[in-house]
Amino acid sequence: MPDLTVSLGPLHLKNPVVTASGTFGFGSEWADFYDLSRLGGLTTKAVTVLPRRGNPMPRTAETASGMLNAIGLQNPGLDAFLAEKLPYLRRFDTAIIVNIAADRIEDFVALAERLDGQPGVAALEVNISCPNQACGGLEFGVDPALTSQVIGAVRSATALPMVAKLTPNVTRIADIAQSAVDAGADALSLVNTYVGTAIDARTRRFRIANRQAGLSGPCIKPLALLAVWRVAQAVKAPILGMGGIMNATDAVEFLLAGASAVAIGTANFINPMAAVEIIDGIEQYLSQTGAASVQEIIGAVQPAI
Amino acid sequence: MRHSLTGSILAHRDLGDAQFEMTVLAPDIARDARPGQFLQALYVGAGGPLMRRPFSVFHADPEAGTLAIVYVARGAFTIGMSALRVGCSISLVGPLGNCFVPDARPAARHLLVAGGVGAPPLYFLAREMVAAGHAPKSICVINGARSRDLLVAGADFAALGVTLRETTDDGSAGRRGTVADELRDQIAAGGPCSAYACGPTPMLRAVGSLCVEAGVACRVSLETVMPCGLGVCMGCVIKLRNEAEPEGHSLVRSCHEGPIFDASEVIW
Ligand SMILES: Cc1cc2nc3c(=O)[nH]c(=O)nc-3n(C[C@H](O)[C@H](O)[C@H](O)COP(=O)(O)OP(=O)(O)OC[C@H]3O[C@@H](n4cnc5c(N)ncnc54)[C@H](O)[C@@H]3O)c2cc1C
Ligand SMILES: Cc1cc2nc3c(=O)[nH]c(=O)nc-3n(C[C@H](O)[C@H](O)[C@H](O)COP(=O)(O)O)c2cc1C
Ligand code: FES
Repeated sequence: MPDLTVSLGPLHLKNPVVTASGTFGFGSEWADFYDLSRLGGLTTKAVTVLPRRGNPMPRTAETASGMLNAIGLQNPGLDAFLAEKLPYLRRFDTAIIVNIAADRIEDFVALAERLDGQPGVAALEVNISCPNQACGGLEFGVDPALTSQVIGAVRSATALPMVAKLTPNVTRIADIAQSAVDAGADALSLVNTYVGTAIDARTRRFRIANRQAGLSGPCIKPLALLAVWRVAQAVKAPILGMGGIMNATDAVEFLLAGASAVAIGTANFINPMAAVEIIDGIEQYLSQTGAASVQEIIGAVQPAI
Repeated sequence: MRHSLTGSILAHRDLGDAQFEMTVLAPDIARDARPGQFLQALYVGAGGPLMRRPFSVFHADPEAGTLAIVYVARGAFTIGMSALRVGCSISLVGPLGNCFVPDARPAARHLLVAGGVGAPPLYFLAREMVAAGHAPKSICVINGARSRDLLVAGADFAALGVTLRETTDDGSAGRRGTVADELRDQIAAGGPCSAYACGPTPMLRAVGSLCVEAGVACRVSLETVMPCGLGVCMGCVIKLRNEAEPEGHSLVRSCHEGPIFDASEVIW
């Protein structure tokens, strides 16, 4: 049996498959489908200091080979997460990665301080795709200096493994990645959604109330794969790769591009069994190709000719 | 319990007027499905859809392991689905959401109010109620649509022996008018009653406010977009009255806490 274990810096996973933030709730909805202990890790929906109500409906639209969402981080807030969601998740033998979001650096710090030392929390994933209140809504993750500030602040607030979740809506993602690592990120997760919108020609209305939304699903896979490969080339930090992964072959491609682990997002909506089927599929791929471990294929992509 | 399975299509009937009834072998779901619950369906096809679509269970037969849906081919997904042949497979996740619970008062009349493609879950409810020993005449189905060709499941309701009242906006079948017009008369006929409604949102709002004014308990099954149907994406939320919230309402998942809600609590 091939060795499936991987590491995202100090965060050790028993297999390279994690569920992506916002596509798996807080886990309990999946109880009927499979034992969450099968997962390498589980990333929670974004948690904010106070409860968030999110954006008006409609919040989503299907597009060619993908979907748009502008949920607006609706979540019950940190207190409810700690009281109601974390106790459920703790019982599983899987890495619980808490995705944190805020529009002020102080709030990121408050989140990190409270989550630090909570039994059951394996790592923080810092969602720097959030608009920054102090900079007129500019996203933290589009600016190297802002990225450095927020990641540095969270670093001083916690000893937990910290993953910086990068937005792909930038010109040079490797620069942002480098700032995050220099500021203390143990690993990078990429990509978050690509901005886009959809219009209904029949009704002449936007199909999303917020107008701007995030694109995910198979249509973004080639873009995400390139982003992962670029960052893997440029930056010395382990990568949690994601963006349109639908099956084990897609997952293997991300590993070959340089990701040390992969996250499954939109695929969960389409096939609730996707994550476990991908774990089995990766294992099969390794056996069939004679690889002794996942480690062997990480970053192993070769030139076309 | 929810299941994710691939079922074989046993029958696929063209009911005319772009309506189809599909019967699928899906024993696990057939065993667990309750009236009002839905499935998230997906089929594979060239250039086919990516995301699942929700369909109410029309009826389920736990012994035979089968379940049926009735749908109208009206958009890319449903038109593609209508071309699936017997023997093809379809992927189903379900049963999902909550269910209709019949009024337990012995003398209660049950007013099942269906608008267009909202009829399937109410047929399942009527059928289960009759099977559970409710007198068919205590069940009054008010089935409405814009016109005769858009009425769904008329013959199926009739076969149950329940009281059936049809309404069409244009008068091409049954009473000319809306289901709300008929419902008002049925409530006026007196006696304890409860309403169960499924259909387009404007209809549900009309039915809901009528019932609230008349002091009749009313459960409505809401239709929203449902990207996951599993309670994780927050893409299907509706507003429910909640005085504890500063805004006076909370945003709840229509796929998970619903799709059936108390009409008096819904903010339309
Ligand atoms: C809980 C629940 C249960 C449901 N149960 C059923 C059921 O039992 N049977 C059933 O048939 N449906 C049911 N639905 C609705 C079903 O999911 C939708 O019919 C389905 O999403 C339509 O998908 P589509 O891609 O075919 O249509 P879409 O292309 O998504 O169209 C959706 C709507 O937009 C309208 N529309 C789109 N394009 C046009 C156009 N060019 N001109 C005019 N109108 C247009 C259509 O009339 C349709 O109402 C249910 C929905 C929910 C939430
Ligand atoms: C409905 C939805 C909600 C999401 N919510 C979050 C979130 O709260 N925080 C976050 O960092 N990413 C969020 N994401 C982004 C995903 O975690 C992931 O980065 C992205 O969808 C790309 O992967 P995919 O194509 O496999 O879905 C969300 C995505 C979707 C589709
Ligand atoms: S459809 Fe995703 S939460 Fe309801």
